[in-house]
Amino acid sequence: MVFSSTIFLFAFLPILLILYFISPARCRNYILLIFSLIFYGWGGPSYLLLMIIVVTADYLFALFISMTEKKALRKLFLILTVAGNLGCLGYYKYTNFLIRNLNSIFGTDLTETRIILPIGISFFTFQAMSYVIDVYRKDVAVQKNPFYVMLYVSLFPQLVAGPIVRYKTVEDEILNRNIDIDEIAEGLERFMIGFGKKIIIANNTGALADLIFGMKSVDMPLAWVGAVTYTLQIYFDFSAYSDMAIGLGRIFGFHFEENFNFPYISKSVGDFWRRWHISLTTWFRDYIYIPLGGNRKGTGRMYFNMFVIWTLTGIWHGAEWNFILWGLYYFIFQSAEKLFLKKILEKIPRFFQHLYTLFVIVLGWVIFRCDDGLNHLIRYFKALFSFHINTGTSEILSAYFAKYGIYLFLGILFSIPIYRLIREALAEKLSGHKAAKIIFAGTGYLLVTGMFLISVLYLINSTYNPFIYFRF
Amino acid sequence: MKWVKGIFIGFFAFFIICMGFSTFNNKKEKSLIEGRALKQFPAFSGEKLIQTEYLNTLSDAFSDQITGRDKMIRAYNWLIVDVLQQKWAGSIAIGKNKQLYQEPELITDEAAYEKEVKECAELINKEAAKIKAAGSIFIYLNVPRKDVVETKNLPDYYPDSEKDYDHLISLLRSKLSDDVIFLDAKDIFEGKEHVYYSTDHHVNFTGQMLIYHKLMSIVKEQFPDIEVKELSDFRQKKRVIDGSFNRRIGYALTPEKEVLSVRPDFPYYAKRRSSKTAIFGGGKTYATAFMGGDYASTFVKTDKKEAPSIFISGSSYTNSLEALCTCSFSTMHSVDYRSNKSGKTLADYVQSEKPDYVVYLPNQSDKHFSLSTFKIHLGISDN
Repeated sequence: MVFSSTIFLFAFLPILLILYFISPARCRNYILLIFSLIFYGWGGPSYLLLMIIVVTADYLFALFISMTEKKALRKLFLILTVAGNLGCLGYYKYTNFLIRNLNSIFGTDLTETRIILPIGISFFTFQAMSYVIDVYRKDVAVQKNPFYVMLYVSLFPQLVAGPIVRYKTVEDEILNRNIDIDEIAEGLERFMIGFGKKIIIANNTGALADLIFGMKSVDMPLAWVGAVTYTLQIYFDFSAYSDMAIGLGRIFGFHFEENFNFPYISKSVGDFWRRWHISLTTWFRDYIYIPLGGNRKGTGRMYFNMFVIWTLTGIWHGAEWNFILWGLYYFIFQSAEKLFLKKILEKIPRFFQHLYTLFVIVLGWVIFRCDDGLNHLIRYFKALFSFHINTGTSEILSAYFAKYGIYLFLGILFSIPIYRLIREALAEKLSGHKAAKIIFAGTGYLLVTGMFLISVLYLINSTYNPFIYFRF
Repeated sequence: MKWVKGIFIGFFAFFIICMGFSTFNNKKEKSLIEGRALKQFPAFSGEKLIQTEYLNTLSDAFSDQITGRDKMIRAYNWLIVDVLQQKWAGSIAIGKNKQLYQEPELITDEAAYEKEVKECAELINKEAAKIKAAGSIFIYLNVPRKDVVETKNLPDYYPDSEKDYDHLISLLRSKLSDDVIFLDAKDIFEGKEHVYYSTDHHVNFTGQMLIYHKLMSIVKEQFPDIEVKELSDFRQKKRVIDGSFNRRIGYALTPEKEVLSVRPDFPYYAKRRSSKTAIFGGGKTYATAFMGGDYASTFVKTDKKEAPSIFISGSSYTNSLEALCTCSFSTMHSVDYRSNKSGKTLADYVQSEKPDYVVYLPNQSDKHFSLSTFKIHLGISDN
């Protein structure tokens, strides 16, 4: 099930809200758990069992780890946990990739398996694994109630596309959470904003990006429009999902960490990765980069660690070479920034810092988007730098801009924190004026509600509604 | 402040709860706007609940049955067309003078397209040779999309599809063999206005009459006495035709009245085999200017025993032409290969029926020249 579907919005959510808020507090976790399992099972009931097995195994290993003080034994349980989770992830996500590569390298004729990738497997295995690692590190106390561990992993707002929530973030809230009208209103507003971003901006820019990336041949202007459009689509698609997840979490009393912080206003690649998919970046930092030694074991080791992290980041996103290439691409730029580029960037005007970063990001998304073979990627890159313009391109672009121009404009506008800045500035000016504050808040809610209703119109009228990060 | 938030939350909760519960009670069968049957809620069973297919059907049915669906589609189009003044609504381009057009065909790989056009020509030549060998005259009628012909009302941003069409059609024409008599409706419509419906992709009755006359001028070369009807031979009734485009954009535009119903103003006799549906209302009443549907096969016998016979492989584009032909030919047999699953190719039909004339019109409503569509209308589709 996806948030931007009628069945979620008008059936799943109202039923859950009614049951949740009329139930006594002690039953609410169980209601959330049941509905989270329904939410996951809706996309493929057969994989529900897989998720339950993974979480149950992680619950048991965490319990075993907590029951002993013997280092070796604790380590063994941890290794078994990590191996189990990664084995599961590897089997479902990378088996066919491995077979394809073995066939092409060794000329073998191994048949690809008929494995269907379970939705959100990369998210829930990482989340479940982090819980056991945290128990091992004694960062969190073990949770003895298996249903609560299941709830932590399967909590529907963040289950299939993140943010990757740490157990310690929601540990207290699972046991005891306060829900008040302020929290619900904030959560609802956040959900509606995410819904609008997804339906109005991401879906429409996505339709254009798909058109251009689907063309057999493109010239330079079309290639750049396609690249920029996809850059907008992926941000609005993914950050909208995070907004909706964070908002829904807030409605039910959970406070998830932020996952995006206006990444396209970054001044360097390093800055971008502190603003993009924050929960994944910090996960890799805390569970892989730092344990590998981080930057504490010398420069050479630091670059090796970075190489490992970026390769894993790439491969986490998908079992195709372009994703690995995409990870390594960022390894190169981050290394270059650490080596010399950062110093140069600091000396040039801020505008050029942004320009450099956007250039790298946009090209990075082209690598990410061309997941149907390296030939497509090479062809697309050639087009980007070919300086070739077909005769009919201006007409094609004018047709595209007439149809999608408004969504590209909105995408660019809301990639910068303009809404937040205006809101904060107005709130500051109005502080102390009670009536004005009420009018301001009311107007804000009215605008958001209006946008939500318009998004519903778009949703009903649209058949194009994919979620990019669902497949990771 | 709390009460403001209370209203905000209350409205949302009220809206989604009402929408949800009312939707589950809906049993709408058709959407007029979308021109399709709506999915129904599947029968509930605990066993099916764990089947992905059942859950998908439930999701689709919920989306189809959503309360106020048609009204919301209209509201969406009002927002797009009237408020945002967009010249696009979904896949429909909004032109000048209340003219609607379909999405432009954007050619990004010219070489590949030219190759496809050549393959279309080769295919036609091959089939035309068989038809000629059977003793029939093969006429290939090409009816371009509305945006190629009625360019005056196109929105400003619309690409020059006429230029693309002209280039491709000249290429195709140059590759056709002498076995093919080629008719380009663009030439037939030269200098004429409003030959397509305003809110639809079909050629209107005026346009069909022009095509019919061109066809008859060819027939007259061998059959000079053949009876040819004029527009004035028909009484006409004008009505507002919403057309498929306008339905799809939720009737966002009120078009002018157009000829929809006609009635022969002359003694008319034609009998349709295996169907009681009369053509032209049997000449007694006003009937739609088209035959009213895209039939797999329509065989019509008329009282003009001395006249030649005609076989038409077409689609909704030939509907009115087929009706007009029943005013002139002894028999008119038409097939629409989108529905015809007989397994017989056009050449097979011609071999067995030996019609005097064969008219072949591939449907070009989406793409100017598509090899697969050309194959379909020759009855040699791979499907």
